[in-house]
Amino acid sequence: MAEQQEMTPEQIKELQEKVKNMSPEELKEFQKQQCIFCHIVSGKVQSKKIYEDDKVIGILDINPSNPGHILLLPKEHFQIMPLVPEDIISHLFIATKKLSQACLKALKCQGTTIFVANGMVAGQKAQHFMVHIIPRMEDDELSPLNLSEGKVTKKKQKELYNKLKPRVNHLFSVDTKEQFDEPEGETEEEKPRQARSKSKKQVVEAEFEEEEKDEESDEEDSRGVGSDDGEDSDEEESDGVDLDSITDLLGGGA
Amino acid sequence: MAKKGNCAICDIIEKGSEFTLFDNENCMAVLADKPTGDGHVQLFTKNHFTILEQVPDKLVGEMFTIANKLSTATFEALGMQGTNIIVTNGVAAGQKHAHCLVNIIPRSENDGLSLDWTPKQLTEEEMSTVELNVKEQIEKIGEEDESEVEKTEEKKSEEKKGDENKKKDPNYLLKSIERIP
Repeated sequence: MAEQQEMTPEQIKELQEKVKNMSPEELKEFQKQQCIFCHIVSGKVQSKKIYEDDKVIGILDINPSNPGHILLLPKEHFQIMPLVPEDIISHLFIATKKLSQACLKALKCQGTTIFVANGMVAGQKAQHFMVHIIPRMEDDELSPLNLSEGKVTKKKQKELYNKLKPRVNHLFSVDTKEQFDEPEGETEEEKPRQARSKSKKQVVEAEFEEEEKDEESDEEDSRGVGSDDGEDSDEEESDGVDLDSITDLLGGGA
Repeated sequence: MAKKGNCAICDIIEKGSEFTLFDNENCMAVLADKPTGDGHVQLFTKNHFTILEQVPDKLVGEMFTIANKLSTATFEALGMQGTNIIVTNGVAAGQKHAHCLVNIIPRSENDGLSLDWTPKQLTEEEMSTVELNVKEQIEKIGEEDESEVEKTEEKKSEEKKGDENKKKDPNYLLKSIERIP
């Protein structure tokens, strides 16, 4: 699928500069032009299309992990999963279920792996969010996808849990209430967390907005969650990277 | 169908877990007790379904909407650089519990995990055969859907027994998973 021409380092730099100065709308349009999967959706690039409805298409991966490896993607261009609206997520995975079922029947395989990679470190290779449906046979060469079981101490679990739980609570309460300013039974320390999320949400929507916003949110964050301050200061650094860094990383490869 | 006697996941749902991250009427998410990596979250439906194909559409949609958020949460809260969302569907895919669940695995550089594969090269002919077979099945599933949109899960599993030919493979899957201790 390597249809895009190689670029010189100067051209890449120039391009990055150009991308930086774009408005979010321009950027999305630009990404679409660059995205091979958007060309597949529009039919400009040929593919082995096996499923299509108004929101998603499913194609056979031309370099499959196993025969029948399906890529299911939203027609609209989204770089990463957190940017995909909920209705499309639901729709996409209901279609995933059907395609998985079709694989089981059509290929006489013994299972399927449903695989999503968010971010390059997780193995995301394209800048267009997609779901992989991988037919599986016993003793095929894909055993790493079987997920090894590791060990973890209670203490470590507790530590992870304490970091995760507030963020999970927060993300879900934002969703159930239209406005997340309502104080409703919250403790003092939860308020700054909400403020933080507000700025974070803007960052998500704007995708490539300047760093300042992110720093702001970090400050708020350290005040909000800070149960173990010493460790947190270290944590915040990496925390500030999150969504932006992923889109950035992917953007760099354009 | 609500619960299953010897299912470890149903046990968690019944008894609760000290590491419950999310809990609503349909779904629950906990930190995995045998994690593939730090912060590995497992999300499952409260009703017992063995494989993804049995989970009703609406619930599939809800589950992955939640998975998406949990993914964002793990990744932000743990300062990670990515996540994998994986369903191991069937013993051959590494399914360990006879209860369908979604794995959310936070990823960072040098975390030592390799959830990747070496791409295979198929001939044009092989690709076309696969394409035809899968397409044919998808069309069949589409037809089934129209006639049984509102049917409940229980009815579906009954049908499976009746229509051996159509449901052959999912049945095989179920049997092999039910052998999981």
